[in-house]
Amino acid sequence: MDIVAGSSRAVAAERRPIRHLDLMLLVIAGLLSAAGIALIYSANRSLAAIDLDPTVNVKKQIAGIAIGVVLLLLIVAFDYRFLKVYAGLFYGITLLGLILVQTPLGTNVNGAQRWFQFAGFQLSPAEFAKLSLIGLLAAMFSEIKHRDMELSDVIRGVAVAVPPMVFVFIQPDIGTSIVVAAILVGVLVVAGAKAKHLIAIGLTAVILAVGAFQLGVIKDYQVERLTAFFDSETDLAGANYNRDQAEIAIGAGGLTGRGYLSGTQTNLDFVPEQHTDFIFTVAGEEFGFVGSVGLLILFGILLWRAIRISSLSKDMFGTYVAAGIASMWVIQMFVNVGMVIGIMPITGIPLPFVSYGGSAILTNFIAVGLLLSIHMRRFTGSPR
Amino acid sequence: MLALFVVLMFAALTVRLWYLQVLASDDLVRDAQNNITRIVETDTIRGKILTSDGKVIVGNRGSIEIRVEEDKLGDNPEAVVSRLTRLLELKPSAIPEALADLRYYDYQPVPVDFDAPRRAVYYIAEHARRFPGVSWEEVKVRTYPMGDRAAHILGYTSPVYAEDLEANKGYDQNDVIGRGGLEQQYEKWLRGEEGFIKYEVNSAGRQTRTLGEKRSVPGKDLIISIDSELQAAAEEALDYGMEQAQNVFDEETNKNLLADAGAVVVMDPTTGAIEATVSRPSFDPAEFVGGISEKRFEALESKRRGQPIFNRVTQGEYAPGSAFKPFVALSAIRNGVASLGQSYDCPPTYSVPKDETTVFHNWSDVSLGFLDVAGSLRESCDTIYYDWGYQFYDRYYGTKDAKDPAEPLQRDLRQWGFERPTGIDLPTESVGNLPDDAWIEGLYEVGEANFDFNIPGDYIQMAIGQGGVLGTPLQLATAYSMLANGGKCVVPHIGTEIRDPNREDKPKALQPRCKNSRTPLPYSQSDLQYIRDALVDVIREGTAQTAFAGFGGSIAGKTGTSQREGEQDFSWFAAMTPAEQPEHVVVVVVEHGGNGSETAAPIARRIVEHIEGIESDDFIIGEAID
Repeated sequence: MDIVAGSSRAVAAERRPIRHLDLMLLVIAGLLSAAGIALIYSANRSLAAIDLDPTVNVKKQIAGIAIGVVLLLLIVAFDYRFLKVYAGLFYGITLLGLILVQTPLGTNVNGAQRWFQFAGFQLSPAEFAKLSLIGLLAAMFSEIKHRDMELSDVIRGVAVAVPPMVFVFIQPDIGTSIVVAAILVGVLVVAGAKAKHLIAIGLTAVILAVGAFQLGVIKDYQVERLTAFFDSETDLAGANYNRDQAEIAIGAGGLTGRGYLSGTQTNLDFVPEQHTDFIFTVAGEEFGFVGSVGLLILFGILLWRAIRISSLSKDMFGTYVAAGIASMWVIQMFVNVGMVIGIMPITGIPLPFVSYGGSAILTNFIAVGLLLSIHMRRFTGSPR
Repeated sequence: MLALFVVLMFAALTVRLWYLQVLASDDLVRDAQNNITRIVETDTIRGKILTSDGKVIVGNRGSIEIRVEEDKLGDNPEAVVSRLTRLLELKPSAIPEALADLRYYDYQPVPVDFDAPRRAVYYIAEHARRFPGVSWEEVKVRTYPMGDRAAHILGYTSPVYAEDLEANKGYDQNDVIGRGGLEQQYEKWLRGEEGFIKYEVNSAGRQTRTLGEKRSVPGKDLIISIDSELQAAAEEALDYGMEQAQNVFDEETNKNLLADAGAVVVMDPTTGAIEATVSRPSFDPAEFVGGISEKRFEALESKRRGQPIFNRVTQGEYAPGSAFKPFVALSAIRNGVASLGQSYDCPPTYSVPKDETTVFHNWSDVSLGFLDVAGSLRESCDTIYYDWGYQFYDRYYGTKDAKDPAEPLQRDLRQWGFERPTGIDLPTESVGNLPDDAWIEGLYEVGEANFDFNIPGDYIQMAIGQGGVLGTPLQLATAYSMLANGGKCVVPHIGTEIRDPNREDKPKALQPRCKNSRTPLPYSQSDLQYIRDALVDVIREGTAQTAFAGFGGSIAGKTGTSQREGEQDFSWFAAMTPAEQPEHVVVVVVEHGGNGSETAAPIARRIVEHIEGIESDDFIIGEAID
C-alpha cells in the first residue's frame, strides 16, 4: 500500500473510486436485463394455455439478476486485481466443475449434460469457465512485459483454453466452445499475438476439427445443424425448422413490429427455445426493425464501453480482462442474433443479459462488475 | 481491431434485419399467418335431383368409407393390409388394387371400401395399433330410388383426383365431384359449399381457439324435366319393342332382327324440355357409388357389350334415313328445286344424269306413280329425293361461278340443327355430319374419297338422310320440334329449376336461350303446315299406316330406315303429337331394328298412347316399308 501523500486527486480517487463508476455501462446492462425480462415474459405467456405459470421463468430470471447485482457490487467493492492472484484457482475450480458435471452429479437436460441442479437453480459451470479463462489468460499475458508475444506464449494460451473448450464441447455445447475459442482469439489479438501465429493456430484447429468429424466425435445432429445452414432447401421440418420459424417471426415484425405481447409466432410457440437462445425473435416480431436495431444499439454501447475500458485500463491485466469480456459478448451477440436471422449456423448460444438463464446472467453481471472495477480503479495503483 | 470487427458485425446484422423486416416482410407475414391457422372443413350434402313430378331420382345416404394411407402402414404393411382385408371381407387383391390407383397421390388417404359395417369400424378403433394408416369417414353417397331410370343423363360422383385439383379451383383432395351427365353439368349448384372452422393452433398443432366458422351450405336440388311416368313408359316401350323386333325374321340377313340397341327421346317442342330419354343397353348408376373398378368401367364402355354407358340419344350418330326427308323437302321448296303445285314421278330406280351407269334404288321395286311433295313424304319416295339432291349438287357444282360458300341445302339443314350441337345441358354431345364441299375435300385429302365420283352420290344420298349424313336422335327431335312449333328455335334441356331445399325462395328457373340461329326459320307457316299435314298422312295412309292401325290419337310422324354396310337396317320414327298443335315430339331409333315401320313406329305409338292416356296393348309390327 503505497499511497502517495500530497496528491489529493489520487487520494480522492483511491478513497472514492466510485466517482469513476461507468454509469453508462451499468445503465445499459440494466436496460438489456429489463428488455430480457419483458421478452421472456412475452415468450412464455403461451405456457398459460397448458396450465403452467407463464411467469415462472421471469421470476427466476429476476432472481438471477438480483443475485448478479449482489455479485456485481461485491466485485466493484473489491479491487479486480484480486482475480489476477486467484486466476489459476478459479480456473481450476471451473475446470473441475466441467468435469464433475459429466458425472452423475450433473443433470441431463434435453440430452445435454450441462448443469448442476442446485436449490431450484441450475448452475452451468461452462458459463463461469468463460470468465475464469479470461482471468487466467489475462494474468498470463500481463506477465509478458517489454517483449513481443512469442509462439510459445500463444501455445500456452491455447493450452489453457483447450481443456474448457473440450469439456464444454462434450457436454455437448458447441456454442459455448465457440465462445471459449473467441475469447482466446480476442485476448491473443489484444495482447499482440503475431498474425502468423494466429493463422498457424487457426489451421491446426481446422485440421483437428476435420479429424474430429472424421472420427465421429462430432455427433450427427450437430453436423446436420451446421451443414443445414448451407443447404436451406433440405429438411425444412428438421434442422432448418428453427431457423425458418425464427426468420418468419422476425420478418413478420416488419418495420415497427406487431406490438408487445402481440406476436403470434411468439405467442403460439412456433419458435422453439424462444426464451433462451431464440429470445431475439420476440423482439423482432413484437418491436420490428426499430426494436431489433434498438436492441443492437444497446449492445453496441455495451461493447463500446467494454472496449473503451479495455483501452483505458492502466494495467495490462485490466486491459486483457476487459478485452476478453468484450470478445465474449461480441461473439455471443453476433452468433446469437446471426443464427436467429439466418446468417449464422444454429448453435446454442444465449444472448447476453437478454436470454433466460441463471448462470449466464450471473456471468454477465460478474463481467460488468469486473469492467466497472477496472474502470473505477484506472487511476489507482496495484492493491499491493 | 476488436472495434473494427464489432462495426462490421453490426453492419451485417443490421443489413440482414433490414432485409427480413422491411424488404421480405410481406412474404414472411403471410407465412406467419399460415403458420398459426388450421382449417378444418365441414362436409356439405349434395343437392338431390328430382323429376318434374317431384320424385327423387338421385338422393343421398350415409356410408362409411375406409381409407388407407400407404406410407403410414408401418413396418409390416402387408400384415396390416391382410388384416384389414379379412376384417372387411374384401377380395385379397382389392386393397392393393385400390392403393395402386394412380389417380391418388402417395400421401393421399385412398378409399378402399365403402359401406363398411360399423362393427368393423369399432374393431379398427379398438385395435388402432394393429391398423396404422387406416382411417374411416362417414361420407355421403348417391342413391337412386328409381333404379336405372334415365341412367344415362344422371352422371355420377367420385372423389376428386389429382388432375381435377389442377383443373378446378376450390376443391381439395377430400371432396367429391360430379362426373358426366347432370352431376357434372350442374356441379356448381348441386355441390353446395363446404364450411370450415378456422382454429388457431400452436406449434404442437393443439387448437388454442376458434378464429372463425363458416357453416356448410347444402347443395341445391335440381329439378329436371323428366316425367317419371313418361320416362318409365318410354323405357318399357323401347324394351318391349326391341324384344318384339327380335322375333322378326329379316330376309336380307336371313336371321332375326338383332334389335340390340336403341334410343328414345321425348321432348316438348315449344320449350325444348326433355320429358323422357332412354338409351339401350343401359347400366345401373348405383354401380358408381363407392367407386367403380377400372375393369367394370371398361366393360360399360366396351363396343362388344353394346357400350351400355354410351348415351345414344346425345352421342349416337346415325344416318337418319327418311326421317330426314321433311327438312330436305322444305329446302327444296325454299330453293325452287321443288314446288308444291307440281307432281314428281316415283320410279323404282334413279340414274344419275351424265353418269347413267350409277343407279340408285327406291325402297319399292314398283313405280309409285306421280306424287306431289306431300305424297313424296307419305310414300317416302326415295327416287324423287335423289333427283332433288342431284339438282342441289348441279346448282352448286354445275356452273363454274356458282360456288356459293354456303351450299344451300346444307345451310338449310344446319338451320334445323343438324351438324350443330343442340346445346343440351349435358357435358358431351355429338354433332353429326352433313356432307358438303369441305367435308368431301377433307376426305379426298386423306385419300378416303374419290373426288369425281362421290360428290353427286353424296348429294343424292344426303337427300334421303343417308351417305355421309349423321345425326343424333336428339338432333332429330330438335328439328322435329322446330317443325312442330312453327320454326321457332328450341334448345333441348333437362334441368328446369334450381331449388334451395331449405328456403322458400322462388326457385331459380333455368332458361336456355337459342344462340346463332335465325328464328323463326325462313319458311312460311303455310309451308310448315303443309309438311305437318303430309306427316299426318304418313300415319293415316302412308308408310306408318299399318303400325298405327286402330290408333285412337292424333299424331303426325315419319318413318326412317337407314342402311349400314353389312348390317341390318336401323329403324327410325319421329312423331309429333297431337298433330294439330304438337305438345310432344317423340323420336325412336332401334339399331338393327329393320324398317322404321317395323320397330320404331310401334314403339313410338306405345309412348304416344301413354301420353294421351290411351289404353292399348297393341304392338303392331308395321309392314316392312321405309
